[in-house]
Amino acid sequence: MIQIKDLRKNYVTFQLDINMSIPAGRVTGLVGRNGAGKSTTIKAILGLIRPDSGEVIVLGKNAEKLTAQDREMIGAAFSDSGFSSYLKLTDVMRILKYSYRDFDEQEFRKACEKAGLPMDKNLKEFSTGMKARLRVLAACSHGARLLILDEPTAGLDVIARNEVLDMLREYLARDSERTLLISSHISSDLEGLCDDIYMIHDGKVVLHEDTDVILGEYGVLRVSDQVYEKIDKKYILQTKKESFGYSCLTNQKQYYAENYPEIIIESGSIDDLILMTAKEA
Amino acid sequence: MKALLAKDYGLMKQRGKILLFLVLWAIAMNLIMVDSMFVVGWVVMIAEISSISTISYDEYDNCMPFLMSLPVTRRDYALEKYVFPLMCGILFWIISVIIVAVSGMFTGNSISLSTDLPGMVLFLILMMLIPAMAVPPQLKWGAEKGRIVMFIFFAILMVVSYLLNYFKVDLGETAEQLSRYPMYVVFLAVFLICLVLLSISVYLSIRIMEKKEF
Repeated sequence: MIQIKDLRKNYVTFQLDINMSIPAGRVTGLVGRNGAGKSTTIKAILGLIRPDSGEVIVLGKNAEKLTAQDREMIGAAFSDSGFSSYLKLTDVMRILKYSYRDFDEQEFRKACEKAGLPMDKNLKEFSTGMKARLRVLAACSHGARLLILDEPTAGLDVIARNEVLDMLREYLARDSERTLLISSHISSDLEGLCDDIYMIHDGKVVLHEDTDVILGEYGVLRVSDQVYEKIDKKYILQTKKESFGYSCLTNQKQYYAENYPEIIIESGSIDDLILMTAKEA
Repeated sequence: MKALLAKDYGLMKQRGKILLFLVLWAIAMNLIMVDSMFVVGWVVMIAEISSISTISYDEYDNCMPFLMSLPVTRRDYALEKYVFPLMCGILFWIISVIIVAVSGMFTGNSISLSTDLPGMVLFLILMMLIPAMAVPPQLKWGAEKGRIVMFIFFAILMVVSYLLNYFKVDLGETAEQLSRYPMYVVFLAVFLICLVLLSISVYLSIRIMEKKEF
């Protein structure tokens, strides 16, 4: 569904250098700190920026050459970009109706009512949560085969975040061929939703792993200086000096649990990955 | 394109009060005997400038990345920024001509099909130049800087006009020569010149949009 081959994009203080492959029917998460390159990657996939080199293939075509017809198969949402806040929901519906042949007006209207979105108010009067729900509903309104969502839960409280994630789960459950690429820096959003995770740091993919593997096999060892000196380091991915000794990220926590029963091992999470990578930097 | 027109229509509705004021102002001006040609020209000009301001709305909320992810091409976006103002211009031209015609009946200053209407049609043709001048700089440098570029352009035109006057270049003679031709020939010539300038402007805007990153 999405193939990124040696994508390079140079900015004055930042360079993106990415390879990525997302097959159809997959739910893929893109994690990383703010400024890691998640949004730039998504913009390249949507053909909004021009790569300096490399190739971005979306739906079998170069992203820059996607036609209006191709784009009907894509639903996109951004955390910092959407419909003008001077429009009303009735205007949004008209825009979607003229944009997508498969836009289901009745269903969209029902979904908006269910989500508590008023038809007759300007979007600028919507709360942050309402705006986020609208962005996701609009992306899901036309049966897109590919959903690309950049930080759809940014700035939302836990209840609003769950509402948005439920919308996505509902959408994906309707067709197993639907593909989702979602970026977030809130790891718990992705842990319960994604099949696999790409982690980006300083414009590069530093990790690509199935979510189940991260949650099941990754872990963080908390060890003293003496213990650190003697443990086998072949499954240590990242190490960080701490006041008590070292924190070590491993992708084989079972190995250390069996061979070093005295070590404190915390189960892995996407947050650990982000923290350890950030600390290494 | 239809979706973008629907978006700009939605945005223009927000300026409904301003546009209503524009219509009332046109009625008032015509009732107090202001030249009907001026009223029509002014209304069409304000309507077109207001409709071009939708570029500012798109910029204001950082809408561009999202808009460009919809099933519209960059070319569609650039073209729509001409189609929408021209449609508004034509609509408000019709409204203002009706206003001056109807209010003329009450003031006794009724418009003449032979003398007033051709001038009004000429205004409508010349109004093609408003988006032609305003859109490319606004797409290139953004709405705010684009407006400054447009004012600089107008300032240059004023300086040129002043210099022509200062050096006593007689444009009256040219006008006199033109008046020897049938009116429709002059109109057609003006229309073609405006169309060429508009086409150049559209071409530039499409190039600007195709090179832009969001």
